[in-house]
Amino acid sequence: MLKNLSNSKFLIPAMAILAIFAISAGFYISLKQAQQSQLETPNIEGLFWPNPKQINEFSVLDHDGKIFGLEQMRGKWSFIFFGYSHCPDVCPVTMAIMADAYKELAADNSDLQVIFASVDPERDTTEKLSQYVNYFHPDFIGLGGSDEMIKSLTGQIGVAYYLNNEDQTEGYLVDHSASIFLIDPFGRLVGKLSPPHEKDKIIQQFTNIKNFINEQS
Amino acid sequence: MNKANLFLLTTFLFQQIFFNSTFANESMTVDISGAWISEAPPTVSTLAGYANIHNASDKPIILLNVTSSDFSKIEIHRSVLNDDMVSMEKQESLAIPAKNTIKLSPGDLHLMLFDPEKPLRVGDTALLVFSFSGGHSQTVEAKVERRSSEDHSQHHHH
Repeated sequence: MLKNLSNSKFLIPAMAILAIFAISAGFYISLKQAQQSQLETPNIEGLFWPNPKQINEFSVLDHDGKIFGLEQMRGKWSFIFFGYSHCPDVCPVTMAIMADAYKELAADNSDLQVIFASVDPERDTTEKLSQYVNYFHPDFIGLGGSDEMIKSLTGQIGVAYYLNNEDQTEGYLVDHSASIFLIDPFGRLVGKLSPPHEKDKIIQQFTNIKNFINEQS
Repeated sequence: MNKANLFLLTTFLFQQIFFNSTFANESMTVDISGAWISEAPPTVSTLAGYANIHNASDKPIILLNVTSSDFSKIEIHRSVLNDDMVSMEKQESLAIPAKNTIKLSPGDLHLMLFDPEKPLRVGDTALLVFSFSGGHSQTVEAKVERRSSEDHSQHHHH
């Protein structure tokens, strides 16, 4: 009886110590987890992380009529905007802003390319694309080709577009994505820059994403 | 009988005075400023035009259409962003509320200018005729300018 009593006297402080230990251990683990999840999904606007989509082989024509595929993206940071040259408002605004951002970014980044991919291959011939992209910046690349070729790229990036002929008596309009997509030098879709586009916002988002990707490798 | 005729005549005269004063009022209270056309790459046959339309009157005014001898056709459109997809919606007309300004600006309301009669480069101008409800119209000279990422509306307030 005495023995039992003394045992229960020790039991209470022992349990209290155990409880404190358990609580602090739980706290420590949850803190660790929080830190880890912060590493996995950093707070960078427009970044696709973790598990960015790896772009597979595709084949389109550039504005010189040469085959352009995944090979032409390796080792470079590619900005891609999907539009069409008959688009009078949103496409030229976006390309003009992109040209201003490119001029500033190119000073510190030698591995950049800006791509205008046409979702209107019927009207955007190689010749027209060449003049179109060159107007905004001589370094810019225009991509086109057949409808099937274009879909080999848009399908992977997850870009939808469709002809909108509802109220048009002359020509037709194309509804398309307003975002600029970012592909890293390993051919991974790592970011999406959403409208409204501004030069400084593009520069900031690109720099943040590039720095983050460089830290990972 | 005579009284009825007199009544009709009075009504007619009253209407004439009323409508004429409405016209006079509108011509003084619609002000189109900062009209410009965005220069486009040489192969592009559809340009965009922008302007600010101010209605200083206390009645709404409807922009019915815009015409120009420099283009085959002009339509009023709005660029609409919906879940990342951008599309253009044709506007049959455009209401300018009383004491209000409607801004036609990049990425929003704009004039879609089809098939310029001659290539338009920076420094060129085109005449645009804006026709409003009430039979009033106003002709403005739009300058062709090159876009930049700077907000154009900042330069065109005067």
